[in-house]
Amino acid sequence: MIYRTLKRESMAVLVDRLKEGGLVAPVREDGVVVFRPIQGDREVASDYINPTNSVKDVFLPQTESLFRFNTAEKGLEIEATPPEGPKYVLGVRPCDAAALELLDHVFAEGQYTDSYYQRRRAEVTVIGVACDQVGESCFCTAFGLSPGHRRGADVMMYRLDDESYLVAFEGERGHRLAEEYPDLFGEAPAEETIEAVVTSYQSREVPAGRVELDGITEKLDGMFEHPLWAKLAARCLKCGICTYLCPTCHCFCLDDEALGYEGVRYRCWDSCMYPDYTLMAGGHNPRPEKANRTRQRFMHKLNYFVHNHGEFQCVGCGRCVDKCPVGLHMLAVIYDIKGVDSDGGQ
Amino acid sequence: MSVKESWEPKIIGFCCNWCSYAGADLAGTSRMNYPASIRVIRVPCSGRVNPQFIARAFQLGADGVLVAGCHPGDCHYSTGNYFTRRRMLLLTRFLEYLGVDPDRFEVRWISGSEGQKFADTVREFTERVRALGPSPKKRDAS
Amino acid sequence: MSGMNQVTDRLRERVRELLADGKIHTFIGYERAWDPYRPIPFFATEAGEAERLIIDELCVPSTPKYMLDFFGREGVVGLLVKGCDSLAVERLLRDHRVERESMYIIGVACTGLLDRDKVKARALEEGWGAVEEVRREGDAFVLVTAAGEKELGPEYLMERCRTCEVKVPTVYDELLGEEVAATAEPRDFAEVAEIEAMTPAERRAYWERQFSRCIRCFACRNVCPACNCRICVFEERVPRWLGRKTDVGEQEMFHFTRALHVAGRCVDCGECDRVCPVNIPLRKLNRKLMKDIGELFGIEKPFMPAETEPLGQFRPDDPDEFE
Repeated sequence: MIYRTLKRESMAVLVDRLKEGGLVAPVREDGVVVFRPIQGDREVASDYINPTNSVKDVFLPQTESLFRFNTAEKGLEIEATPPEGPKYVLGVRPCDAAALELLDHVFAEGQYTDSYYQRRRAEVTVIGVACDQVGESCFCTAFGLSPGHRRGADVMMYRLDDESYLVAFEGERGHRLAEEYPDLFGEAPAEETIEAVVTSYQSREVPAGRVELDGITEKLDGMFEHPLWAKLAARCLKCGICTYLCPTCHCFCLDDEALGYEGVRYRCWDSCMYPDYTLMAGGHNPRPEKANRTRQRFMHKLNYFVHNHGEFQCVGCGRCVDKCPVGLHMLAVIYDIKGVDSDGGQ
Repeated sequence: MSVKESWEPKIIGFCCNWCSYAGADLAGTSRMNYPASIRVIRVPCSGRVNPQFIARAFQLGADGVLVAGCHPGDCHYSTGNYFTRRRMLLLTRFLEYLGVDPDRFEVRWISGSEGQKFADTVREFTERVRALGPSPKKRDAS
Repeated sequence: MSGMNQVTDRLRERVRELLADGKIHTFIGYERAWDPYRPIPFFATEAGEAERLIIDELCVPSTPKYMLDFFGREGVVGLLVKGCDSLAVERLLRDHRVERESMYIIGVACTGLLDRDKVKARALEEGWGAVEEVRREGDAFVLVTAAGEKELGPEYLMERCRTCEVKVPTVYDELLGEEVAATAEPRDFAEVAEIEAMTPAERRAYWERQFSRCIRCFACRNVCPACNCRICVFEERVPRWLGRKTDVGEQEMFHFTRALHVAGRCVDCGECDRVCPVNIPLRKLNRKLMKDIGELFGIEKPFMPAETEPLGQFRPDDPDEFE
């Protein structure tokens, strides 16, 4: 862990340099802020709570080519397509950065790992920016995170004063960035200052995060058949907004696309909220009703993931709270789960 | 994407079996000359032409798309091309609205005896598309 | 003009009766939820739940499409329906996706809904806290918030409500509240004309930018009352009309196809535009087709469901600009 400072006016220089290696950062466009490759005349946005899409897009792209195939000449030829992409992602909030470590449980740990995901995790530097503003729908503190938390980030920027940032560099990728541009990063301030700044961010009030999650996993253990799921699911539109914007959702599908003799096999996002997500050849669908799927989503996040990996699969980023057109989001569901009797009463 | 020196316009032509395809046949048997730029796709009726065919054609590299059918009133299926007419009126405007150059999309009524009209249409359309250059609407086929 | 909240008590009373008498098994209305500025659809299944129902100018989401979830189920579903919702009901009826007898429709006259995003932004900025009531006073909206009463002018109307003359639902079993005059700004399709005025290159760049944000969540399709096929074209595997790859070309293909599939059947409810999480201006696509249909085929109100839809019919003397 090393600390440095970065002058506000040097930010533009840093962005220019990062662009050379490929940079993804939040961009304001047509009324939304979204993570985009910084090319052409795109400018990095600054005044936002959290981009609409998440940093997951960089590490688990919505469409990822796995290999190309060709049957023209010598039977079947297969050529792997290694992952491409930016080397840097800037403007990542602590919640999104922490989400990467949750995705790591699935794609980078244990017996089966995903080489495409791992390669990106190894090569992409995550540059976080601690939260000056806290959104109404933010609830990261419910999951042990905070507006200044560093989990998952290689670099974290805190506002030191009106003219400069305090920058924390962590791990191999973080240190590499500090060493690459020594002319941009100034000396660290005094230790007490560092501690004061970091503490002020990490203890910042997150009103919606006051929801208490103790015991919820155990309660859900007995709620598989609860009538709550049907009640919640009634208003679901069966779209993919929650799953696609969520930084920890990771369901995917494999598919082929070919024209003539050539084609590509790719992985693409899929959503457990879609009716045919679990549709099998032969026509059987184990989750035919909305209630089945709603139950699946929230059990996965609050119960199954806890049993499988030891922690909740949510970072309280609040995107589902903001964007679900019918208010079927994590906070609403958590409160509803807490409010019912686990044996089926109301 | 660089333009090859030898670029030739690639035109997809949807021709209805009973009139315009027959007209194309007639152009052939009468030894009329027309550019080899057109790839004809025979459909039973111009009313069978789904707007998605046209969009896909442009996406997959067509520099121009032609839809040819019977003259309104002469449809082999009585009313098919009346629906075509409404649909194509809408489609020409919609494609333009989305940024496709309207000169790349052509709708013609060509009867079975109008071999000359078919040849003339392909010739004129090819020259118009040649002047526009390769279509910018391309996506990776795979 | 009085606000819709005036009929709240009567609404609750009627729903309580309907549920208690067993005339309906479910009533779909609205309740104030975690975000009081964004009431959500609420499905009451017991008489006691009627108390949770509310109705005011923040109750925006369209609910008739939920009838498709009850397809094949016995019994009657109660619905609370505003003008725009009633057009959605008509659309579903004309497409034979719902039976009239399976609905009991309580209509309410609406003089226009609030733009929730605009209101929410103002409320957050000025620290209004929660809202518990919305009234109409003349042209203005009055919100009763934790920080006192706040007045909002007609500029807080939802865009789509400015030009809506369907103030009273066109279909209902009973109407709550008074009828209101069907006044509205003319539907001039200004936002369509703006794009028509661009150069081809500008248009191409504009739409590419919009579509490149699309995440293919299908929220627009799922909320649309005109998108009611049992098996959607995008769900068919054979033939595969749309790949799952998410490049700009496929996104464009999706929006192009959906716009054409609802052409002539769109009721201009604007829900597609509202639910899009990445602000793609979907109404500008549907309204372009609507405008052209109206002009080309001489249809005065191309958004109103009719006996036969414009692209399902023809006239021998239709315009013909093809040689």
